[in-house]
Amino acid sequence: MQILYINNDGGGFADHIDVADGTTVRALFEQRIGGKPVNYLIRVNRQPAPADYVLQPGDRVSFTPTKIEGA
Amino acid sequence: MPLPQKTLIRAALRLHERLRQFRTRSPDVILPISAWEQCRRLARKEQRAHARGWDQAALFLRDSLVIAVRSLQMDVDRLCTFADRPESGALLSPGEIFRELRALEREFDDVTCDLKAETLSVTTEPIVLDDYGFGAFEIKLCWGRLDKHDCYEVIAVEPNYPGSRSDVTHPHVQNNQLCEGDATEPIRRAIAEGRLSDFFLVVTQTLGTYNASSPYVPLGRWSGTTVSCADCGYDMDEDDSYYCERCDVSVCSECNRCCTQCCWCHCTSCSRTCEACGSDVCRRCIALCQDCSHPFCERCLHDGRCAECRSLPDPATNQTDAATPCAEARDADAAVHPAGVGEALVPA
Repeated sequence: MQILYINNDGGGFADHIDVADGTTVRALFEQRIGGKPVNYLIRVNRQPAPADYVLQPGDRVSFTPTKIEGA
Repeated sequence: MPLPQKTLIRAALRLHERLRQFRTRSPDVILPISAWEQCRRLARKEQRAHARGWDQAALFLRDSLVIAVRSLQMDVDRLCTFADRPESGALLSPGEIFRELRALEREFDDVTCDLKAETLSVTTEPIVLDDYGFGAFEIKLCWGRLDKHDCYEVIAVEPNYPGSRSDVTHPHVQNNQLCEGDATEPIRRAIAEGRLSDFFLVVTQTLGTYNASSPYVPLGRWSGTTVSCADCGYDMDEDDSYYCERCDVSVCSECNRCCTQCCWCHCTSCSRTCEACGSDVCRRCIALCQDCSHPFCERCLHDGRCAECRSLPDPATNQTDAATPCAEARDADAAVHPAGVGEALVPA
């Protein structure tokens, strides 16, 4: 299934990607980001979501680091 | 209090139209000429100050130059970002932008939308960095100028200025402009695609992060208890600093000097070295030889002249100072002693 995946860590790209049916938010995070989820604001359809939320087709998922260094 | 639906719908439509125009139009290429000229002026002044021995002024100008170069770097980075403007991300539909606006009300307590001024603002929670409180900030997006590099402002609700600067309200905010650093790309893409919630979240997280390697004002100097050495720039606690009695600045223990004549503390800028004995003398106690104009302490000057100048023949009389060893040696060979006939006591 396709979801909109937004990674605000680094380039800030927003892409439609394919994920397997039944993929949870936690699984997607581990696949795409790794590290500690506590260091990110994780939003599904612009709202906080539990880690075991199962992604649905067309969902909008964003990962935003809590620490972003200015200059 | 949530914004009226009608307001949000209108805002979403107008934002979508502005974004569509912004994406289809080539960006104005604005070269940072004034920022470059500012750097040139400051660099010239600093060189002049160094050449004249105005170390204090040179230090101040160096600090100003560093800030100006950072500002120039920001302008160049923005230019590069606009030159490589991302085209791959699709622009959200007006309906999606409407949902973005609704999401802002869930993320932030205070969201305002001014259709006439074409601005959309959120207010953050109070920002605290390493126990320093900066209060809340208003992030104001001006959708009327989305194609400009300053299309948004970061405004301190109750500014907490550092002691020395009234243009800095946060270590990474100057004149209400965030120095984006690592946030540059995510911010640009989020704006270009209409992902407003991402834009405001990224700016908020950047405000909540302290980058010690390049702030406008370091946290340690924010409340004024830390001072910088006027000579070397070292940051130290005020209690550990030394005070230059001559020019009223603070210096560190390494740069502190003690005058061998008056025993007062002074900075290296106020320090002079006697050319004869090499001792540290402050600029008030140093004196210049009236002949060669070189600096000497009072012990190494006699009647305003240094030993070397006193040993040279006086052009008017072709005589040297009689007190000098060289003069005495020459006089010893004379047929008649110039001081008179030599006499000696003879016992009766």
